[in-house]
Amino acid sequence: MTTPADVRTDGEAFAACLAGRPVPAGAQGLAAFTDAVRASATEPGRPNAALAELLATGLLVPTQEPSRGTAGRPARTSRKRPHVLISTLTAKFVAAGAVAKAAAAGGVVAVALTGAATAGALPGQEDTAVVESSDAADVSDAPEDTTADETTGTGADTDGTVTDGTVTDGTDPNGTDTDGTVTDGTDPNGTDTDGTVTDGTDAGGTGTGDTADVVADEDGDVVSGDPATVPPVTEPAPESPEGAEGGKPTDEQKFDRHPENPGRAASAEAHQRNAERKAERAVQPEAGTPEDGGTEEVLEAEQVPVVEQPAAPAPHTGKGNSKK
Amino acid sequence: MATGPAFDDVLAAAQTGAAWAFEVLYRDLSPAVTGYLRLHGAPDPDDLASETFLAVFRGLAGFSGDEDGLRSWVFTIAHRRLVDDWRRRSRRPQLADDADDVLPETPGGDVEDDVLTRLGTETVHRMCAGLPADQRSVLLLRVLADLTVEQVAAVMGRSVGAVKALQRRGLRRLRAELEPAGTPRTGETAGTTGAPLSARPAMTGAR
Repeated sequence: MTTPADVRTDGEAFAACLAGRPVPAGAQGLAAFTDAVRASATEPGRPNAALAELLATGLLVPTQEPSRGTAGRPARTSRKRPHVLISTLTAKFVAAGAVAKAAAAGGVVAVALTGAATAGALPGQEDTAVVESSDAADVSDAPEDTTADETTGTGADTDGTVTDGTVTDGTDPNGTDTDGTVTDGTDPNGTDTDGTVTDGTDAGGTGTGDTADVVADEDGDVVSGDPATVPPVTEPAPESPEGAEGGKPTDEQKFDRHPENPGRAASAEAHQRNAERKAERAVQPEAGTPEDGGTEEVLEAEQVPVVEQPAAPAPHTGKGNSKK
Repeated sequence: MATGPAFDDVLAAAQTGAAWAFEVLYRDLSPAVTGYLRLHGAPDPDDLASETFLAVFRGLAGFSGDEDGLRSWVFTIAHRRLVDDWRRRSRRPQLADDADDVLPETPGGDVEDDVLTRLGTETVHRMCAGLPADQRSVLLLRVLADLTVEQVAAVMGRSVGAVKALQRRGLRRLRAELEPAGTPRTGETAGTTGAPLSARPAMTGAR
């Protein structure tokens, strides 16, 4: 039976054993146990292969830290420092001859001018650009027969458009006007997305033709063959007073506004020729309508029966070798 | 610790990976660690101690503390390695066929002294095997590692009160086992106290 006194005695005896003090009476067994335990743990163990290698060679510990001078800085592309490069270039320039100096100075000036021109810092650069653009948009350089039937805002070119100086029946079915002529924004099938007169520069064929029946002219009026499919107008409001008032400047008016535009006369001539050709085309079908038999008459009149006539014998002028 | 006042130098060198510092620390701590593992009945205490010191040396760069702190840290790693070994062996029980590993290799010269030493060691093994694992851990850490109650509590992950209770129960069990046969003196053979210990410790999981 263990009493609290025994427990207290065991604790004191154990503490005395651990401290190396003399143990009280009756606790020699505990002291002997602690001594035996300590005696059994006097020899180091046999290290395994990994530990033996570690004890023999040590451990490579990464202790080097990046230097403060280079930490956090990107690697330099050139080992030379900037001041070294500048001093080298200066020394070379001083040591060069007069011709070389002049050439170098000329090169520097050329580079500076090029850079200034690129940046738009030279005076008068903007005016030149405007003149060049106006030249590029001059209609006088365009073919004479540009547009035969200018219908703006209708979206339906019923009688066809004159494209390259000749009357065609046609229309641009796919809306891809790539012949470089002025279009009137009335592509029946395509959509003229920008709605502007392209003055011969519509090489990309902005009319896609995929969205048929919807045509937006230059004023932003959306014209559709199918009224039910008219989308809402999303074009911005016209900036000109005419547009604000509802007046729609046509292509013709645009031509007239141009200061150097003789397109009025050209357009009038084109209209006149186009009217004549239309009249000719209108006369020819009327003459050949099948109801009144005109076609047959014309054909009969035109097809004159060919009478086979025997060829006349050539006059014989020989003197005499022929055998009869 | 044998390193004495030069402990700081040894620790600094060991933290840089110096082999000589590793050897100094190993020679100082390895006997206690190996004895602790052996008295706990580890099947291969030398290998387990080697694994412990490998972990100690690899993690020594991040250690900061004094000599007692280092000792406590080393025994913490050893105790956890031992617990891991117990758990591993409990999942995969193995037959203990190497009974020679139970006893340490003692350099001999005198056959009588060798026999006495072996019998005393066997007595200690038998008495330790009769203790529960927690009580054994507390007593061995107190005796072999010279750790305080607080340090033992930190090593085992227990409270100080729990460690004191475990120590009290372990001492009471030891006294109960020592009293019937009388108090053995230091170096006294185990033959007078009972049969020599031949069984393996109960912690190996062997059947």
